[in-house]
Amino acid sequence: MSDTPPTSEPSPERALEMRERESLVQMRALLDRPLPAEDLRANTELVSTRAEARRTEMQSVLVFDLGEERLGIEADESHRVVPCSAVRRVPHRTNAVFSGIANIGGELTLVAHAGSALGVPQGARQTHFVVVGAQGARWAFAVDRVEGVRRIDRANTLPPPTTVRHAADGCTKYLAEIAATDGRAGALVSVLDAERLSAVFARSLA
Amino acid sequence: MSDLGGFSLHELFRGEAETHAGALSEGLVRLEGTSDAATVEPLMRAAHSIKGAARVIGLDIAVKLAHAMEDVLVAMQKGREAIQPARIDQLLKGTDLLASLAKIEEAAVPAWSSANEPAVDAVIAELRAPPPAVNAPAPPPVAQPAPAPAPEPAPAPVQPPPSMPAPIAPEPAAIAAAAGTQSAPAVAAPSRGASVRVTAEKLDRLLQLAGETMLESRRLGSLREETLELKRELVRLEDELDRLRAAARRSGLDPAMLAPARGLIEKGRSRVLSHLLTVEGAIRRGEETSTQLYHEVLSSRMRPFADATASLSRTVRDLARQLGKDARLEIVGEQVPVDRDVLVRLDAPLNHMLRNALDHGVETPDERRAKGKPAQATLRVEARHHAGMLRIRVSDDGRGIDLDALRTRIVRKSLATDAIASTLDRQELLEFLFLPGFSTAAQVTDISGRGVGLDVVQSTAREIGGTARIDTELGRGTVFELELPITLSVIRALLVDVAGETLAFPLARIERVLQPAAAEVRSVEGRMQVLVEGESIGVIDAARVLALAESRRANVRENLVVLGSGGDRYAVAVDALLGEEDLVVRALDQRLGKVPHLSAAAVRESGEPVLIVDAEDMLQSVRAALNEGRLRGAKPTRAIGARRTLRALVVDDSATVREVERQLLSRMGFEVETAVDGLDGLHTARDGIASGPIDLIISDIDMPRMNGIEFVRALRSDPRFGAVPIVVVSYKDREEDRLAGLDAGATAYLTKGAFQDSTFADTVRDLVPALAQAGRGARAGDEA
Repeated sequence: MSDTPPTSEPSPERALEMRERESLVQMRALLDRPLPAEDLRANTELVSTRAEARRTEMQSVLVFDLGEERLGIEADESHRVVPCSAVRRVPHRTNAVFSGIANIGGELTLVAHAGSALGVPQGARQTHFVVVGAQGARWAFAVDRVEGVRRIDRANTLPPPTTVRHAADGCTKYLAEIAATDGRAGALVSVLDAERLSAVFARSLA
Repeated sequence: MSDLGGFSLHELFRGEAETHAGALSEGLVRLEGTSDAATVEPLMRAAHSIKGAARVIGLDIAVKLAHAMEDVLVAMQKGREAIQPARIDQLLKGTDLLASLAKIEEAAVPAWSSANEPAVDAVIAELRAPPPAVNAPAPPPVAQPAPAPAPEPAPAPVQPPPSMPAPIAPEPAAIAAAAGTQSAPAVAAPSRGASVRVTAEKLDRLLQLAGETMLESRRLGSLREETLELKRELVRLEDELDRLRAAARRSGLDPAMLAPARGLIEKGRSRVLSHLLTVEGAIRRGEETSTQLYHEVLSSRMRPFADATASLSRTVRDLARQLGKDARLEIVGEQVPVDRDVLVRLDAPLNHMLRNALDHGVETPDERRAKGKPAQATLRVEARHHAGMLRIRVSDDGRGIDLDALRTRIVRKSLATDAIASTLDRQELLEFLFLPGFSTAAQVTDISGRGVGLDVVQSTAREIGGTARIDTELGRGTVFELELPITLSVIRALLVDVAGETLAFPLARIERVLQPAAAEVRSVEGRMQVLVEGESIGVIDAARVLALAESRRANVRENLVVLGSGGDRYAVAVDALLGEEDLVVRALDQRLGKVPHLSAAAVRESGEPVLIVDAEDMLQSVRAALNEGRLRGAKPTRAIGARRTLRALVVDDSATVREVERQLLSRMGFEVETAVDGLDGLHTARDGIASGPIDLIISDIDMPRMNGIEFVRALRSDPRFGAVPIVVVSYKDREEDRLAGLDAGATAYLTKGAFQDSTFADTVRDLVPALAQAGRGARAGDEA
């Protein structure tokens, strides 16, 4: 996206893109290597089982940091990811959750403070807006770091925890295991439900 | 779905029905005037199209009605039936039903159908019956010389029953004449080139994208800068090479060995140069095209003024008949382009001005003849662009306004003392006509109610950043003149900084900007004042009014924006003045509700978002804060023992009515909150009840975003508001409106004339028994 002002170092978005491309290359290398006997046996077994028993369904998840938390949102539920821009406070409306409005791609978009909404302490500096929701019901929220789009297996997800630690759990669609990548350990990440998240944001205006 | 461009089938029907019903209504009135069978054809087609469209969506009630209308029109066209007013009346009745159906959401159609089935059947029965008996079988002669006195006796002041269509003879010719002065007498929607329907949202989105494209192409300027930098680097490299060559020569090496490098650099330079030219050309073209695109999209919001006047000739005709008067309407400037946002707002004011002129201004034909005027009065609606504004004049040649009588009336209504009234000049006197509930008519009539309506003219004009004035000449007529912005989409605004936020004040709303020396701002009785032309003006901190954080700078009073006019001026202190800019106005996100003190938002050329201040609203808060020592929302503490203060909520979209109601109620001892429409009212009510009971809610019916009926219904569905008395105060005074209000859950239904006498106060006292007790304790009793 061309929202970024030109700078000497790659923009965060460009970096994101480069990282994605890198993982693609790695993935290709993985596909090209000769198949170990172990995998061959496993795959043969897999192919021979009935289709409905397999239920592998890959899902792209945008993984980001919110304060200390590593959270995700299904890639097709996030409308776009853009570098942060000025947020204008709206008199008589701005509160802990509703931050104000920002110009995102020419659209004046309502911006919410996801940290306050979810009860997750968030730092002072955010890098990107994640935009969710359809036109007319759009919300943007600032995140502290965008890690990238990761693929997870829907079959291997866990239901959200029953003990509510904080509000974020209420917005969790499921927990998914994210594999380790360069420098970051693997983890169980809460994948948020964009619709429920928007509802929490909207409640701050009621 | 997508092939319908986002419209549902039903919405398409509604659009079509609306267009054709409009054409029918206009065309029928003209037909009555000309009696020209040739003009029937487009009407026939219109009825036929509605029938077809209704059949597609299975709307049988519309099919049978349109079918019956079509049959009569076919008979007229074929000459099997004479064109006569009583028949036209029936057709107009049918048209009205179809037009009202076109306004109904799909979900509400069954309810509409069952409610209107009898009316529809009645009209169909009339249409199916043989044509009404005609006194004079031949159609009235077409177009007599204009000023010829009408040979007929004056029409009876009551609408004649359809069986005696005689006493309306002079009128049709009049309308024919009016039609003649305009464009071609085409009847069905004249095709001004092919057109398509686009939703307003889509157009707004287009405008946003066009704006963004313009910004993007400006940002490309940085590409040029980068290329220039590349060129400069190549020059530095060349210099370096020159130094190397000199060094080589000094150390006895052959400088020619550097020649290939030099050649490469030169090649690079010339390539960069040609690249630069390409980039510059691309940027320039991009900017030009995108700017053009932007303006083109902006201008697509413009519609001809005729869109606002389509129904007026019908209104004038119906009203004149009802009042037993004879008037023709002339419209000038139908092609003047006006922003559609302005056009929608014109409907109510134009109607009120014409109603007022017909009811109060125009004399009966007898009176007119006695005064030596033509029996037929002329109403004129003129639109033109003047100095970047849209100027609309509505004039009549009626009796004019008697200024002395007006003065007497002002005194009698205790709106001014005798002494003050005698010093008021003509313009100041006429201003009183814009007050809600002020009427110059001796008796109350159905048509303009109790003179209500004129305040709508002024408040609408003000709301969209314009002005309204009246002028009159006794015996010669009255002129209303509105000066309105041509578009609401682009405003010139002053950008200011308040507590770190960029806000915009529309220039049209600013009286002046002051940057006084600190010494000129003094504290009087604990309130800040600034002296302007010998007059002391109250100063208030914008950050405080807007409830943004305290201003960051120590002395914020050096930048003052003065709002209001005359003796009603206030200065709003801001942190910094950032300069003027043209802003493309965008509606605030619906989900925010009506935000106090804000009217809209915009994106600056830099891409930065700004909020546009609602100056009128802010002025009211400032006035309240400075005069009553409090800000809206702050709870004043009353020292009436431990008794709770009574609280009332006033919901009305007219600032004037809000203020009148607020004053009345606070005089009675209420603490009053106000809201500007149903949605805002709902927010305010819900916020308010959280901090204690609300004792009374007053609401208007006609309001944007959420009307009074929906508002009352929403309140009643919330158990916390189950028992709160809700009084509806509306201009609508028909019985069905009253019933609709009470049905929704209103406790009482008053018309706005109720302010004139004690009806309003009496009703409030009846509904809030606690008032009697509180009243005894409070100092400020009502002053009935």
